[in-house]
Amino acid sequence: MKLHSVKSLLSYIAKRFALMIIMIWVGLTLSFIISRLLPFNAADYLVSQLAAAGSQLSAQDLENMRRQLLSLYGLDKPLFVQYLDFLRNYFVGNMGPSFAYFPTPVRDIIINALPWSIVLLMSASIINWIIGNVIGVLAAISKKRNVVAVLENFALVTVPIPYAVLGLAFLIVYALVLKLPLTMYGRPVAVGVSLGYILSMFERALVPLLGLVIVGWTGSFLYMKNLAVRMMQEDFIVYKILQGAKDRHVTGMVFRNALIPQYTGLILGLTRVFAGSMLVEYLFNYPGIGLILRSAISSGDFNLMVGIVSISVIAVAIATFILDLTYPLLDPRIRYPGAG
Amino acid sequence: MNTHIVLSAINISADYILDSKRGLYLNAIDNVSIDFRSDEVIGIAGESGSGKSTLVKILYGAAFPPLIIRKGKVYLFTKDNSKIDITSITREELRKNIWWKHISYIPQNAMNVLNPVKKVKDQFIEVFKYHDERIDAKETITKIKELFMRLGLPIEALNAYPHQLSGGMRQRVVIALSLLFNPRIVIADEPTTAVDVVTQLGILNLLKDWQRNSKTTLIMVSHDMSVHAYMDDRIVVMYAGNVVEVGSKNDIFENPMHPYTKLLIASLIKKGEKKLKTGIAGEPPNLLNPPPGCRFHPRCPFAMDICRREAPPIVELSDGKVVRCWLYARK
Amino acid sequence: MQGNENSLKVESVSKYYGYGLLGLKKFKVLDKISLGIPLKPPTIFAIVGETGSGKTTLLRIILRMIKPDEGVVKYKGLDVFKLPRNAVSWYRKEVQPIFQDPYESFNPLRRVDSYIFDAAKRMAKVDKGSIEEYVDGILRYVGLSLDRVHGKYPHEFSGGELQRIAIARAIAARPTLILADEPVSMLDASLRVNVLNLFKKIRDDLGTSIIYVTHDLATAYYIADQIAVLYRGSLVELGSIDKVYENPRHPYTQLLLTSILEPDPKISEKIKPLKLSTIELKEFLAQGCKFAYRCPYASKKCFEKEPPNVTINGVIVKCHLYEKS
Ligand SMILES: Nc1ncnc2c1ncn2[C@@H]1O[C@H](COP(=O)(O)OP(=O)(O)OP(=O)(O)O)[C@@H](O)[C@H]1O
Ligand SMILES: Nc1ncnc2c1ncn2[C@@H]1O[C@H](COP(=O)(O)OP(=O)(O)OP(=O)(O)O)[C@@H](O)[C@H]1O
Ligand code: SF4
Ligand code: SF4
Ligand SMILES: [Mg+2]
Ligand SMILES: [Mg+2]
Repeated sequence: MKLHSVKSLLSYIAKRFALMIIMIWVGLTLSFIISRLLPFNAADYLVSQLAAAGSQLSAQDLENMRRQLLSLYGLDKPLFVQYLDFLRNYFVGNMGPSFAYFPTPVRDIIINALPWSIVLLMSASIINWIIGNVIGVLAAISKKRNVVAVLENFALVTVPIPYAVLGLAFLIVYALVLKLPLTMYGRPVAVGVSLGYILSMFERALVPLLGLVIVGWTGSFLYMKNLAVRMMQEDFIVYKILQGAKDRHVTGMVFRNALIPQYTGLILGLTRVFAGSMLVEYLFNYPGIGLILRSAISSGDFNLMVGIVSISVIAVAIATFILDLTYPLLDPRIRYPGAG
Repeated sequence: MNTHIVLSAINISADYILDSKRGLYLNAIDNVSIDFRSDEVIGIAGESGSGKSTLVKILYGAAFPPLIIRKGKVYLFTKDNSKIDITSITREELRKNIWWKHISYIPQNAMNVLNPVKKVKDQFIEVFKYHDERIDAKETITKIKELFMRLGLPIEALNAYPHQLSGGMRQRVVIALSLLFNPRIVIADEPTTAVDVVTQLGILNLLKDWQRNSKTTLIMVSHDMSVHAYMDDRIVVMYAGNVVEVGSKNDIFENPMHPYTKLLIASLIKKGEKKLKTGIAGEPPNLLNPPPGCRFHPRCPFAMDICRREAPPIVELSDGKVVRCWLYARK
Repeated sequence: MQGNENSLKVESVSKYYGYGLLGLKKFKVLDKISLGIPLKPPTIFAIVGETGSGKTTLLRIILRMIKPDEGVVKYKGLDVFKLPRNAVSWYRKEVQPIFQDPYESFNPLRRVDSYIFDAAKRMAKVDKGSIEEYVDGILRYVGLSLDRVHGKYPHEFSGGELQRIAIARAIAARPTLILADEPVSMLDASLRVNVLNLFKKIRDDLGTSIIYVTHDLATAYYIADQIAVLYRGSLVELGSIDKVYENPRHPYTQLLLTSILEPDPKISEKIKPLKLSTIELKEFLAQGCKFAYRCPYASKKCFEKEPPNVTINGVIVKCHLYEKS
């Protein structure tokens, strides 16, 4: 590589990097704004809980307490100052304390929950992606019309149904009809980075994972099948057939070319892991990020909320950055500037 | 001359099914018979939509839906002089024994038929694999390099991805691919559309040199009469799905028989001509509903009563000339 | 409103396009092009070049569809990119385009006759009472008639018919200059001549000048009076078509003229093989003469220094070979 092309490659990376930083900043700001748009805050929530519990405190005391809480949380300062504090703290990696679990740092809460979500959702995304794509290409090429039709109809029926319904249906069939054990965490293992602990997480994730996979592969299946059917009409595939390519060669080629758009789907899909999946975790009572986000919203815990949302904003920004850098490896038509 | 028939189309008629429920058929090929001989460049000429590509797809055995063959046979004569009917054998047999080894094909938009994510080199190696040519990697590369050298293509192109090559270069790569196994028949469907005149000449020379050296059959499809003037030994003229005339290049250009060929030749502009020429009045017919009788009659200045009623017969004249016109039929 | 000069002048026009993933690098699609097209007497001016040589880009600039990065286009002495507001519609009427693919220049959901009525009403200001007669006259002029065209949509016509309708629309505006971008390359040989003859007729009867863009030298010679040859964005030869044809001076023009095929069965004996280029972008970026990679006469200077424009016998040639030493 010549010197000038190295230079332009570096400037390309720098530009993409800057873009990523801007994306993160915009995302953080938006999540800050949205959190402050909630009609109540953590102080209101606590006070109203106390009042509801029938405590003996007078209205005056309650109001004083609300004030104190507000100043403790830093919510009494002008919004603009709050925003600057927020940015400054994030810059050094400090997400502040959780209000609901005061003074536990938001970071610790997230770090505890994140591995659970990663284990469940990342395996689900990857498994779904692989199953969906492989079956999709095979269905486009297969001559067994009725098998394909069955698969396709199953997918067409399940895709539009909300996961809440499907997940519930799965739970019912699984637990009530098949009478299988719902959770398998029989072996308590000390929290920590040990093989045993990770295995136990997988054990616990198994049922929700099954639930996610059984209905989750259909999306990428349908997309891939349509893509592959269109690709079969492409001139370069028809040409290969006329050259005498065997069916398996044609399959391989269709897969390789369809992979390019599907790759984006996979990477961006993986970033959803960081937001957790509220619904799945709720349905299966699984201690991931989604469950925490749910309680943060209902208790007005701004810091925790913003913390979780910003993690996924940062994940999406980083994923986009990675996509931009790796795309040329996958598609030779896209080049880094200065190269070739 | 010691030439023999290598491929023979007999009374082919073929339709595109547009809507089988409503009975909508487009009659793209109507009763076409042609013999192709060894060691010749035979051109298929005709305006856009006259059925040139459809005809060569049928010759290659690639009549896939919506195209269906209504009638007729295509016989391929192998080296040991056995006769294979291309229209009735299975796709697997075609794939294994005929395609690429015996007869190969350069499709109409050759610029865009290379796999965009594979290097040119790998696209050659793949073809070896398709046909179970088990030779080791080194030998394969040497073979490919030899082919490139013989055809005067730059070896560097082998390591390029298709999009890194110019359109003309891609077309030449596709031509090289088609010659890989030394087939006895090559079908080239408009191998030079969308390239400039200089590149066009290079591509045509490539094909012509190969044909002259290997004494094989080159079927040249083009709408451009200049290409036929440069390349062909014999020319087949098509009009609206019919073969209207077959003759040697000189006969077609200097002594055309069929009224359509006559008018077509008269409308051509040669280099350095300023004299006012006239085109053919009217337009080619709609093949969904072709005119009765001779398909050229609405535009033909010699049209007679019978032309409007009955399709003209195929008339064989001396020296292998064939004309499909009532003017030459002995009644 | 009219300036004093009766011509369209393109004065050292350059246009850059970016390339690369982000389009940060630039190459010159047009490199200091200067030419003049006379409006009186009416002239057919051919612009000839291979694909990608910048012909369409030049036409788009003349049509004010894209701005040049350098240089000016003057119509009757007025800079067309600095026209006063009321002159813009005047310029749109004066200069009419015809495009390569007739199906792309008509909206498939709009009746084709409405285009001609529009042009007649808005541009030629034909009054209501006589407009049908006017449109019918124009359609008859191109070999059709209002009866045959009335109420029909683009897909109901063949390519040849639709191209003639596109020409009818252009002349319905009573322009002074028609820009035709490869108007016959999509048509069959037997229909091509009819359209070309129509262009000759328009020049002779209506006194309209025509810029005829093509890659086909034979048809250029058939109808044009003057010719400009483009190679990779530079103008390599410019002059009267007879002179250029009989005595091509630029090595590229010579190559074009010897490699062009023609419908003559003796052609195969006349033509000799040649060298082919593969790297288009490299030639666009070349410092010196863009043709140097393929030129049989190229010397060291040709790769380093841009060749000068030399005028010989009324023909401008951009080549070091003809430099006065
Ligand atoms: N897939 C298809 N479905 C329906 N009709 C088709 C199809 N392909 C071609 N046709 C029609 O069949 C006729 C013959 O087409 P064909 O492509 O053989 O013409 P051609 O002579 O090769 O023309 P060109 O010079 O444009 O390549 C045309 O009327 C065309 O519209
Ligand atoms: N919008 C654009 N952005 C970048 N490059 C462009 C753009 N438009 C055209 N080009 C490039 O500019 C060059 C000249 O294009 P142009 O269309 O003017 O050529 P042309 O002579 O009309 O060719 P053709 O005969 O193919 O119509 C080509 O290399 C083309 O790829
Ligand atoms: S058969 Fe009749 S209409 Fe047809 S070409 Fe001959 S003379 Fe003309
Ligand atoms: S300037 Fe040099 S390279 Fe260019 S055309 Fe003239 S002689 Fe050839
Ligand atoms: Mg065709
Ligand atoms: Mg163009």
